[in-house]
Amino acid sequence: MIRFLFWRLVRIVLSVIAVSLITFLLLQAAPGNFADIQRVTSGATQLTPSQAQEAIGQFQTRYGPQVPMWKQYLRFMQGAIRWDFGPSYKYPNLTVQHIIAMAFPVSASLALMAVAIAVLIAVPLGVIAAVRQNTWIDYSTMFLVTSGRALPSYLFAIVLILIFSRALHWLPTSGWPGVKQTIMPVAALALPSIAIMARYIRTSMLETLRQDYIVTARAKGGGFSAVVMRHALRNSLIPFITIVGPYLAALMTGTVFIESIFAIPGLGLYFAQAAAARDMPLLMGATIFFALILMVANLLVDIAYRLLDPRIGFGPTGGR
Amino acid sequence: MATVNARPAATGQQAARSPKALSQRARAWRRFRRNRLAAVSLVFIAALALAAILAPLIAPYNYATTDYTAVRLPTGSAGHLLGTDQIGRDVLSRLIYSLRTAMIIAVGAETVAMLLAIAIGMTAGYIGGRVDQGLMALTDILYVFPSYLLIIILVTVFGRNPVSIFVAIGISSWVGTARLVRAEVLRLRVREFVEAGQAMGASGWTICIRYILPNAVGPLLVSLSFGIPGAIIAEAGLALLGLGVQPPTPSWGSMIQEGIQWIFVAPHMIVWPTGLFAVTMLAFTWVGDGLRDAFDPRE
Repeated sequence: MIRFLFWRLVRIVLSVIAVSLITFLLLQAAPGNFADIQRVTSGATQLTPSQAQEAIGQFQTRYGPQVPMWKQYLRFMQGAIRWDFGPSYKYPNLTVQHIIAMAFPVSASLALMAVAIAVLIAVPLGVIAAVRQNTWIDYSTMFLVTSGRALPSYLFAIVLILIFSRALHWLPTSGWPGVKQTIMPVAALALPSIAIMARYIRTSMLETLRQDYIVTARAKGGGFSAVVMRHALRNSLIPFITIVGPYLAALMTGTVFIESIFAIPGLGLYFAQAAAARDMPLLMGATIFFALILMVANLLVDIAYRLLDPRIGFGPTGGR
Repeated sequence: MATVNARPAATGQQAARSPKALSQRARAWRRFRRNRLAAVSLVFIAALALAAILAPLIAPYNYATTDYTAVRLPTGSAGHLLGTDQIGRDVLSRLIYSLRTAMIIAVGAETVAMLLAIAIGMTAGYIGGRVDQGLMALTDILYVFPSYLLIIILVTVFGRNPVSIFVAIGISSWVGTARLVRAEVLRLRVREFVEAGQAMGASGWTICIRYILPNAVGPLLVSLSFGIPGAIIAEAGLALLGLGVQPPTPSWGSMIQEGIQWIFVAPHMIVWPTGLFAVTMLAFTWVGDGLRDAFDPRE
């Protein structure tokens, strides 16, 4: 267990270094350098002239053209270790870690709500489809599921807006935060998620239902629903958490298009705007943060999986 | 050439049974055609591709021609079948030309992704050892790199022209396929026909390209049929963020992004691109599912 954790943490650290290095080198290839005055001053309208001068001076000494590239990277990473990414270019009166702390909870709560709703709908859907395998219920559910999986959440968002905002005038399309403003973004994120999860639950259930212990439980006189709920579903949910965890993490970082449509100030939207403004510290900081979220989620899922299913150990072969 | 290459696999499996036995691929094709939804979807996609190629001949107007006397005309207006947009451009024409953008992005991105995936997956699987470990470590890193972040960064760096967009999408979407190719190589490497080829002195290159690759066509086709809509979805997403192809070149994403601002005044501007986009994505999924069932009838 300790060994397992140690090696996984080593891998996470190495991956963060690799991700940051790739991002840094790519951004170096972009036109202009890290401390391009133009870029720094793009956010300077929010500052008084003397503050702007000071900010530019700070960037010059930190990432100025006379500072060699490797030194800029090391400087950035020195700060990153202490969770200090320095000020953003676009919002020079905010530090990157401040923006993350402000915007990430927005994205994360959207993703959490969407995944929670998706699980609540997808699990019964998948179970029904599996139990009624090869009936019209199964076929029509799976047809809807396959179709839903093919469409990105932003298309669902547009359809929802057309129905609930334009036709029915029930829900507003902007004005985050608010309860009414949350319904459509969360629904748009949940719909493709339901499709992905229901399909997975069905496959996993079908596999479990074929197991000998289910047949035994049935043969011993266990009622059908009792066997399905108590024996089959519980064991089918174990592999299910291995996809929900990373999926949740991916959704937390992937709400950007929904945030853009509904004007929600989440981290994804900040990232996209940072890219347009070439806001290097924010891009670097957000990328490292997102990669960390994904890796930590994977690690947690792996640990949970091993705890729930003791057949998989923490040994060297279990590391993958 | 393809038939010659397919022969070793067929000999090993079923040619011995009867001289007229169909190759694995011919049987898969037959199974695919029997799936009506998949077959119709494939025809639909072919029609879209044809429309994309013939766009200048079919489209009633140029995609960039503006007419300020006819802005936001609704669907069904005289001379503009599907209406016009906020600066009087013909929606139908833009829709037809946006097929071209989708096709360029999809073909380009998948070419980049497939070449990378095949090259890296085959090298890792065939050479093995340290090379394999190194390349798999690389895929592990890219795996935790959120793909749309990488696309956005690459587009920021290389610009918003179609080539850099499809290269960016290709670079950030090959990892899964590379793992698939590697698994196929590991599976096929130990088969008799490969050993026979090696015994006859075929080089590693020949073994990979002419013995192993033709037998991995099925999984690659399936992966392609999911990769193409993935690339189109990625481009449209970029366009939504204002990072897609430069205007006035139309793409589904840019039309949706413009349309969303007029969704209450002129919904036809967004309904048509959204509808065509959705139907095309569904068609690709059905083709993909059909291909998977055809190549792997067990499921």
